[in-house]
Amino acid sequence: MSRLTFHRKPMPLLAEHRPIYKITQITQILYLSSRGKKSSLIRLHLFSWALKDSKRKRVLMESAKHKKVLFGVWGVDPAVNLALQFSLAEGLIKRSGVSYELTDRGTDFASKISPEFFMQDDFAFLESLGPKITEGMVQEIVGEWE
Amino acid sequence: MGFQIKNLKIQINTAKGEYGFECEFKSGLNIVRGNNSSGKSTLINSLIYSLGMEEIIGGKGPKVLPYALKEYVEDDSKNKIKISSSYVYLEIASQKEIVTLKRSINSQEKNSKLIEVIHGAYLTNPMKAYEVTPKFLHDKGSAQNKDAGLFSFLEHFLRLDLPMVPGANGGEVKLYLQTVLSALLIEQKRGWTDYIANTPYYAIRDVRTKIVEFLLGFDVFENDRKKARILSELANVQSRWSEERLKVKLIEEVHSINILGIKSTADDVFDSNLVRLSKKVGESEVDFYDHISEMVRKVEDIEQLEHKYKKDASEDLVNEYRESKQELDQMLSMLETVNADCRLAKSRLSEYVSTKMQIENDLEKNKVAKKLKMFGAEQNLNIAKDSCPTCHQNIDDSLFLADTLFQPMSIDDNVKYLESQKKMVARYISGLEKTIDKLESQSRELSASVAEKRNICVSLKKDLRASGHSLETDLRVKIQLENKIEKLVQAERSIEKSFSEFSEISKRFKNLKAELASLPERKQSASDLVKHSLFQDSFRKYAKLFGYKSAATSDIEINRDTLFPYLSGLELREVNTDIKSDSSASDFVRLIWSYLLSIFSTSSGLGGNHVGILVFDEPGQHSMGVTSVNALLKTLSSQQGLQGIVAASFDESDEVFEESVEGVNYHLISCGNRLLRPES
Repeated sequence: MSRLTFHRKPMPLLAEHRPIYKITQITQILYLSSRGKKSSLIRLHLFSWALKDSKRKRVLMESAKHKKVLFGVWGVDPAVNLALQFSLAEGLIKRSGVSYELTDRGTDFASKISPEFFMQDDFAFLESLGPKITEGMVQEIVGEWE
Repeated sequence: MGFQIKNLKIQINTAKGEYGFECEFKSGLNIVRGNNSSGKSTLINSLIYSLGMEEIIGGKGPKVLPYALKEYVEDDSKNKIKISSSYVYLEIASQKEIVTLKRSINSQEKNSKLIEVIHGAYLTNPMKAYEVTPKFLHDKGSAQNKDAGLFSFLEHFLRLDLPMVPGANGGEVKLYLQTVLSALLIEQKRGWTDYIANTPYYAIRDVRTKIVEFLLGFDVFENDRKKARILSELANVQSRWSEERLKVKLIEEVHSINILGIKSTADDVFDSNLVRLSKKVGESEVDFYDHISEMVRKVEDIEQLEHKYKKDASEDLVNEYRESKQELDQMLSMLETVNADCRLAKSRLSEYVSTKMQIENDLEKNKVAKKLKMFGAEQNLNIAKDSCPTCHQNIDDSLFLADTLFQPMSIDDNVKYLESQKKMVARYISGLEKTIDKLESQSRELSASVAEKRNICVSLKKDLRASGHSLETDLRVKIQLENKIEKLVQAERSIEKSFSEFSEISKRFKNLKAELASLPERKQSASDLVKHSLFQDSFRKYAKLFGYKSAATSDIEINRDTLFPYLSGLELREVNTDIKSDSSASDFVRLIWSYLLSIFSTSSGLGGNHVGILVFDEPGQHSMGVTSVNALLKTLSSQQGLQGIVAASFDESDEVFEESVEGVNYHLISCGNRLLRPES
């Protein structure tokens, strides 16, 4: 009898779903675009979702100008939650009430990321957006969901 | 080599007479001594200003100079006296010539962008009438315009042949004189913060390395320049080729001609004899030249027919009309099919294009992820090493929950995978584009035939009504044929012209490629290696001599690529051994001294481009010890062929001064209490 063996065949994966990519993205959101380097979970989801698409990025930028989030709803990617677990375990972020906050280590890591490391336009986007999308603006929309 | 500053004169005209300062510089070491507020830096900055090099101090025009040279001077009783005009003169000598530069600081009549070059030793011997030529600076092109630009005058005077170097944004940029001199003229404020700190920004790639390579006269530099030139010419050839290709393509489209055998990118073995021309006629393709002769024959046939008179043409005519009408209907339905196919292909194309963009985007992100992973590993993130930060077990490099069915590719494999995907899609796209081209040209061809057929049908109808007379149909066909032949012959002529152009570009392309291949790889030549090793030796020697103590000098290396000092793989800058004291900062300044001096001594020993002058404004930064300053002055004064100008306050103490200059040969220039004094 001949033997059959099976191998797991490696599958391609979106770069965004690499832990290090998402972790870096989260630290950048906290570092460049969040007040007090702190953000709620749902706000992080908003950013992660917006960064997936250039049209969404434009709308988010517009939202900052109108001081009102112009999305009625946004996607929640489980990858973000898992990346947060990893970041917590790495000591890059810590819980602060219901929010996540950059630790000193996380701040150090984020500050060493230059545009050439990170996606250049994402970096520029987060930097120019700054902390203008506030927790309050996000809550205003989230409140409508109930 | 052989450049020397002879004399400096500052001239200030006021309502209460002339103020000013004048001093002589000798070969060897000159020490400018003056207390902190006496105007020592005013003297050095005026010197730099008079050469038009004030961008090294950090600005353009007289604004880099203090008010005492522009607005008012103070007399002994501290009264402010308004300045009506002020000038600075600098007498400089090269091997062949002595000239005096005169530049206004504050003047109603003279623009500060104008520097007058007096061809003679105007300060030492002001009696004679010397020739004066005006030179301009800071205007765009001032470094290029041979006749009127100061910088090109100075470049010539200093016998430098400043090379073109790769620019930061592609292309070539001149290695400007100001950048080179920023390694020679060191001002006090920022000059001691880095090895070559005050280089003005001119969008030159790796400018500091280029300066050092130039000053040391590296061969590698020459090769880099040649390579950059060839590459830019190659790009030029490529674009000429594509331009010509586009012209031909246009002809192809307009006349429904197919040309095989011209590559879309420059070709070094182009042969016009191997190019095939064919013409699309309906569904089939025929040889272009055959097609022309075929049409000519048809015209001849019609001409023959015209001579015959056809009596009972009506039955034939009816048949002919019917046939033509049938053909027309057929063509119309074909045209419809072709157009539908074309629309379909276009919509598929736009889908593929957006797929390709997505792939490219993900590819870019993957490359970023790869860099991040290496960076994360450097930062000691467990996750970057595929290890769980909590339990340290090996985990998949993925953000999907542990799932045995799914195994992610490694990033490298993923990049490869995406690249092959991209290639595949690109191939689809180019195939589709070709199909669309073909369909569009078919559609054009068909539309044209439909129009012709319609006219023929109309003519036949007319003929039917008035049969028996000379046939209008034939006449019309003949005229149409003649027009077509005319156009095709024109097209043929333009194509031939393009062919000769292609041959020429091809030859040029071949030559350039050969030239590029003949360049040696980027590596330093044997003489460069000798220079490098001497440079490194003297740097270590000087650093030790000046009392560098943050690291063992024998461990410091001059990096082969950047030509800057490295210690265990990193550029050597301040080493923070003790935060409380300033010792690390002053230690770094010792390295800067050693670096600038080593450039000179290496260049002078092995035939580089250093002009043999070093101007140091207050080198004793950060409470530098007296022994180090003494070692620096001794070394400066003992260099053959170097004119050194050092301005310092020596802590305003005679004792420190005496200790610093012990055993040093020097020429003293004293600023006194105040630099600017009334002229007697």
